[in-house]
Amino acid sequence: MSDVETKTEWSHLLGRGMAGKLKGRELKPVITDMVTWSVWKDQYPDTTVLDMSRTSREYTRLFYRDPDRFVFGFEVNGQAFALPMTDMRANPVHQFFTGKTPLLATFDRAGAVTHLFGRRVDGRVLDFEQVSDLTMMDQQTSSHWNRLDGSCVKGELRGKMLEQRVGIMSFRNAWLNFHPDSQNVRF
Amino acid sequence: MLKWLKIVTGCVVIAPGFAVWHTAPLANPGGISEAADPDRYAPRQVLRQPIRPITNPVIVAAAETDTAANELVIGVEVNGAARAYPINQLTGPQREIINDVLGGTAIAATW
Repeated sequence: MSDVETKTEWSHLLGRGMAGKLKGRELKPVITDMVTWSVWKDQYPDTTVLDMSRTSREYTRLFYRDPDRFVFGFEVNGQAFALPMTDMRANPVHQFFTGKTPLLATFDRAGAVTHLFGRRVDGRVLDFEQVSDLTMMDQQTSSHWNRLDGSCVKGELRGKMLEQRVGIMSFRNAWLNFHPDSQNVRF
Repeated sequence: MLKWLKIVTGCVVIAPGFAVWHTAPLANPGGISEAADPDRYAPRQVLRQPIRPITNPVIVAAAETDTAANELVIGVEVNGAARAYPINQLTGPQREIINDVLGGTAIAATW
């Protein structure tokens, strides 16, 4: 893609200026969910929606019928990582470290959506276990947390939020093409 | 500083892969892997004719959309304002970039 103002050409997946006046500059990514409409609408009842004609009917939950082709990709301190979708479906609450960064990935089957959170709250690293399809519990305080948005809904830490981090669902090959040094997260 | 990203041409797209960007460039990019290095930039295809940028997309309330329950959307929340971009409306070169404003912030949703 390019911008009208400078004609710089940008990578749509990296947000990086590739050629032109703004070569080497980067756009700041926004946290997004790639999720079914029903789950998004339940989570955000006041949401608004783009209203243009359809150009496809392919992109429904069935799009993931072959989960081996997909990864949830993200970066930590310049290093790319990939969470294989097959592993996320089998382990819908998965916690791990990348270097010294404690992270948590959750998978919601209904919405076919992965979320990535930091696990440090007020300086303390929390460990989570699954309670229900929507809820998880930290082992340190037994507080209950919403798996979709990372909010604490019950217990000592009620009102706290886990820090959500940027990541994208991508074809495995596309992710590796842009991030050839990407590492798979171990399960 | 860019006020908008208005898209007039396209470069190679290995889809799908989606992202939403603040449309004001950062000053200091992070690490650059070899394949993503601007010095090695070699698009396989660049459009000869500009594609008219989408800058004022039609937006409706949740109750007014015909989006089906199981359709995939890109969901974004900025400053308390939530918006969904149904992917079935974003495919094809004419549609792959939506310039928008959400929660007072200029963003571009790309597919």
